[in-house]
Amino acid sequence: MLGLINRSIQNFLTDTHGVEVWRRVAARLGLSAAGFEPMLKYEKGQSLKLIEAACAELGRSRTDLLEDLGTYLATREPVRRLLRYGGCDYTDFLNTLDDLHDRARMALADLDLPELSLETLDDGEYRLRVAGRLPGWATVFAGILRAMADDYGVLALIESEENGEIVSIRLLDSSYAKGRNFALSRPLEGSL
Amino acid sequence: MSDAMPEAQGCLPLSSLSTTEPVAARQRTDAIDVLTQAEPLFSALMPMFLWIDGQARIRALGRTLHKVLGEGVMIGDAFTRHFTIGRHEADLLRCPDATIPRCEFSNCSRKVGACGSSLRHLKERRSIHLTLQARPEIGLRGDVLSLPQAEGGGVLMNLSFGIYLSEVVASLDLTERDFAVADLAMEMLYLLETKSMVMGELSALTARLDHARQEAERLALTDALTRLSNRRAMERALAQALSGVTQGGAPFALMQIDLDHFKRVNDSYGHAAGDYVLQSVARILNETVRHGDLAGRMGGDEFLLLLRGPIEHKALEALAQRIIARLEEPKWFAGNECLISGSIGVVVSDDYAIHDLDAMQGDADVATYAAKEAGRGCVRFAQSAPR
Repeated sequence: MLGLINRSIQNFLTDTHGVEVWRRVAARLGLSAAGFEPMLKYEKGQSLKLIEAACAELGRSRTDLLEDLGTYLATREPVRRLLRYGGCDYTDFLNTLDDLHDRARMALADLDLPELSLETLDDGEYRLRVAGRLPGWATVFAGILRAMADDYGVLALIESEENGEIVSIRLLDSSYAKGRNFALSRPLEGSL
Repeated sequence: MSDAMPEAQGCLPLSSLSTTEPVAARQRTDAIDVLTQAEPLFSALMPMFLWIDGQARIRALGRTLHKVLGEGVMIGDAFTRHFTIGRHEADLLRCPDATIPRCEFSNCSRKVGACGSSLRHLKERRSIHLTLQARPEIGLRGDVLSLPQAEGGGVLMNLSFGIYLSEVVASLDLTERDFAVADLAMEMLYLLETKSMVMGELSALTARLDHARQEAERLALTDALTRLSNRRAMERALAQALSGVTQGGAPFALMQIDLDHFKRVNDSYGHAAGDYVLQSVARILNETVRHGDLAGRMGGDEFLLLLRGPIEHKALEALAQRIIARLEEPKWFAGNECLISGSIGVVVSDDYAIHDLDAMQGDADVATYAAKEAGRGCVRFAQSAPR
């Protein structure tokens, strides 16, 4: 699987907890502080070891860490933009999550994102099934969906099942705050 | 010429548009009426649709196309006020009607698309390229269907931005709602965006790898102690110089320098003193050679200069003497005076009829040995060079 995901975890640790924490995590894994190359492939076990090492280093639970990771990812401008391709409003966004896996695969065949399928339960209630090859993706997506609710200016209750594949979403107020700006065209800077 | 065209390729099967009416009524229905009824459906499904009537006027258009043309566009505007057919002058086709003296359109400029009559000839085509009058940099392309001449003529088009998508989206601030869901425009934009990110990542990776490669190469070709070129780098440079000279390029000279009394310094004052002396020698050689020449440490206390370009023997001799004088200057290390000298053997590529690196290096060795035999601290030229 592409180093992009490992690199994102590395960036998350560096940006939110400091470069020293990353250095210690890297040392636990016997990696150099340079870490992962986003465009090279690594075996998928690396990601799990990386998360375990980060949890141990920070003394945080996996759920906590993965949710924060999701929030971090969705607030990186390039990722946020790609997610906003999902739709003009949050409901549209939720309904096009099913396409996310294929879109990502179209862009980067080796990225290996989980498959998502949304089930509409009731007015404003949804269940998102997250089926990935790594455990914990549902928790990451809970963080992503929460950050995107903020981005669209929507008040929503989002919870992931402990160690499960399901994220439950309940929309409380679809015009809670003004969403952040998004235009299809915008000069790009920075990296994933 | 186009009256019998319902069967022609690209012609809309109008009867299929209204399926709920009884057969008898449908037969009486004028094609234009059917289209008029279907227009909201077209607009909903095809935001880039365009209906041009038989007089080359805009009869209807989709909401996104409306956005593209701007607020000024009116139903009934002349087609040519907003569009040109084709992307380049060369694509524009002659209007056959224009050769008929009684061309019914007075403003006919003999090009397809320039007048209503020429739109009739689009029935022979399946696709069309248009250029926006107001924004010639933007082209549209799409399907084109001609309506039967008997029923007033006209043309239906379903357009798209094709490769101009990014420009249009940027300049008109379009959103995903402006595109049909079946349109791959969003996927195209998504791909373009991810592509530039991935390209950014890849070029950053390439830059990092290139830097690492250069660093590895530098390390592989540099003598760690003196930072002069090492034997491998010298051999590579010699091979290049030789292949240059065999192809009629510039000649070169080799100056082999063996330090004298170096072992004594090493034995008396230790390896640190020896290292210091070797580094001093490297500095002397670097300061003596010209830009473009190459100084290398071949191993131990043996150095080699590659002097590129033609140099007189006299000048080589003077250079060697200058080097020896500087080598003989006392060098102080930890309060100890380290005294060395150098024996130098010189070969010049011009002295050889057949250029053979092994022979030249062998002769340089012999010359250096001769210098040592002559009492050290002196220079000898290779003798055996056959002219």
